[in-house]
Amino acid sequence: MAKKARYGYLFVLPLIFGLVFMFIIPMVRSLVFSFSDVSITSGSFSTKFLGFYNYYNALFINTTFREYVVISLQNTLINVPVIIVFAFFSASLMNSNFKGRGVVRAIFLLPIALASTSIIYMDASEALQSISSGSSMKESELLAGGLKTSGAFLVSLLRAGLPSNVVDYLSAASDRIYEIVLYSGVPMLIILAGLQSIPKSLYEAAAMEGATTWESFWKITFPMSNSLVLTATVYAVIDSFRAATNLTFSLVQYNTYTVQNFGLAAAMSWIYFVFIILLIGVVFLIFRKAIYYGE
Amino acid sequence: MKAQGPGLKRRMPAFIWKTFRLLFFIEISYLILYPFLSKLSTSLMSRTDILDLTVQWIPKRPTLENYRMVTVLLDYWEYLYSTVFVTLITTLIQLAACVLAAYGLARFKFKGRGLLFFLVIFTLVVPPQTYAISTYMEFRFFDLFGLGSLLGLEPVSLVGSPWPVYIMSMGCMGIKNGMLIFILRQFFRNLPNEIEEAAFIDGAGIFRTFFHVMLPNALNAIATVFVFSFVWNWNNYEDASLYMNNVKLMTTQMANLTMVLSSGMGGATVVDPTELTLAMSATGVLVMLPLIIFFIVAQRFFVEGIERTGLTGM
Repeated sequence: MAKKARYGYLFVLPLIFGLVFMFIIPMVRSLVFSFSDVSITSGSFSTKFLGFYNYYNALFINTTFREYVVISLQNTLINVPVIIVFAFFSASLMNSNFKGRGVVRAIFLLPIALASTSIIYMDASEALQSISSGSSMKESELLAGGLKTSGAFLVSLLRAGLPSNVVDYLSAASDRIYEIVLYSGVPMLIILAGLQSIPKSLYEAAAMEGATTWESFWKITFPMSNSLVLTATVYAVIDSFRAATNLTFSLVQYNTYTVQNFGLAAAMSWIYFVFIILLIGVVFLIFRKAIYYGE
Repeated sequence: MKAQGPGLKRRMPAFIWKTFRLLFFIEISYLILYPFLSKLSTSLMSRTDILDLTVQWIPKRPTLENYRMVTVLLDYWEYLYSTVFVTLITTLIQLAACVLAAYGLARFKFKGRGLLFFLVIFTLVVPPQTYAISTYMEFRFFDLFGLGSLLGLEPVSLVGSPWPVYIMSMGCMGIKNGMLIFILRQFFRNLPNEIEEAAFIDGAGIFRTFFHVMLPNALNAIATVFVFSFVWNWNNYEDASLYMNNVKLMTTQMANLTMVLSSGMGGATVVDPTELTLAMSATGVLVMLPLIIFFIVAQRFFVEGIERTGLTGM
C-alpha cells in the first residue's frame, strides 16, 4: 500500500509543519537562549554565548528561583494524588445509576470550562486586599462589601474566639480543596471514560461467582482502569505545572517580559522542565508496577 | 440480578451509603458553583442591600443597575462578540488540523509515524512557557518561517493580531493540542477496518472515504474535542496576553479589571469600594455565563456515551 502511505503524509502535513517550525525550532532556540545573553535590537535580536552563566545565575545568584521551584514541586506532589483520588472516587460514583445523574455530571465537569477563569477570583481577592489595607472603611462596611459571601463563616469563627492562625489554616485548606476540585475536571472525565468501557458482563460474572462489590472493585475496576488513571495522573501533573498560578512560571514570565533577561528566563524554564520530566518518569515507574500486577 | 453499578461501596446499609453520596454531591456541587452563585447574588444587590447585614443571599431590593453600569463601562457586547469570533475561528482551525493529523496517524502506515506520534505526546509534556519566548520572537519578526527573507521580504510583526494564534492552530501547536490529537487518534484507530474497505471497494478515493465515511462516524469524538478546544481557547490567557493585547478579549480584560472599572467609575482614589465590589460581581457573572451556558449545552455530547469518544482504549 505504498500509495496509501503517501496520502498519509498529506494528512499529517500541517502537523509536521507545526512541529518543525513551532515546536522543534523554538525549543532548540530556547536552549540556545539559555546559554546566551539575548538582546533585542530594532528589527531583530542577537545572542552572545555565555556558557552556563544563566544556569548558575538561576540556581545560585537569584534568590527566589530555588525557593519557588521547591514550592511548585511541593504543590504538585500534594495536589496531584488528592486530585486523582478525588477524580477516581467521583468518577466511580457518577458511573453508578441514580436519580439526577445528569445534573451531577454536568456540575462536576463544569471545572473543565471554568478552570482558567480562576483569574477572575484572583483579581477579585486582590481588589479585596487593596480595599481592606488601603482605605479607611468601617469594619461593618468591609464585612458587607467583600467578605459577606466569601468569608462570613471565617469571621464568625474569629469572633467565636478561635486563634487567628487556626482560622488562617482553615481558609488555606479550603482554598486548596477548591483548587483540587477545579483541576480534577479532565482527570475525572478520562477516568469516567475508562470505567464506562469496562464490560458490564465482567461484573455480572463476578457477582454470579459470589464476589462482593468490594472484591469486584479491587479485582475488576481497579486493574482495568489503571492505564487511564496513568493518563489522568500525567495530565494532572502537567496541568499543575503549566497552571497560570504556578509560581515558577510567574517568575519566568516576570524575567521575560518585565526584566527582559531572556537568557535567564530560558535557563529557568529548562531547569524546571528537567524536574517535570523526572517527576513524570517517576509516575510511569510507579504505574508500570501497578499495571503489571493488574494483569 | 442486582441493579448496581461498580461503585465503591462495601457491605453497608444502603441508606447510609445513599445519604453519604448525596452529601458528597451537594458539598462538591456547592464548592464548584459557589463563586458563580455568590457573584450572582451580590451582583443583583443594590447599595443599600450590600450594607445591610441582614441580607445574606437573596437581595431585598434586587436591581439590574450593576449590569447596566458594567456593560457600558466594559464595552461588554463588543468584547463578547470579538471573543466569540476569535475563539471560534481558532477552534475551527485547530479542529481541522487535528482531525487531519489524527486520521493520518491512526489510519496510514508510513515511515516516521511512530516518531511523529511520540512528538505529539512530547508537546503535551513540555510546558509551552519553555519555548514561548522564541515562538514570540518568531511572530515578532515574522518572515514566513524563513521563506520571506529568501524572497527578499522584510519581516513583519504579527504581535497585536490574532494571527499568531491562528497560525499555531494551523500547525497543530495551539493550546493543549496534543491532547486533542491523542483523543481523535484513539477514536479513529478503534473504528472497524470494514467501513473503510467497503468504501474503497465501492470506488471511493482516500479523500472521499475520509469526508463521507470516516468523518460522519467520528462526529461524537469531534464534538468532544470541539468543546475542549473552544473552552481552552476561550480561557487561553497566556497567548492572549502575549500576542493579542490590543484585541478586545475578555481574558485579557479580566487581568486588569480593577483598573478598567475604577478608572471608568471616576479614578482609583475617588471610587467607592462597595460600588467596585458590586461592579466586579456583575462582571464575574457576565464573563462566566457564556462559557457555562456553552458548556452545559455542549457537554451532553460527551457525558452520555463517553466510551465512544475515543478517550478509551489507550
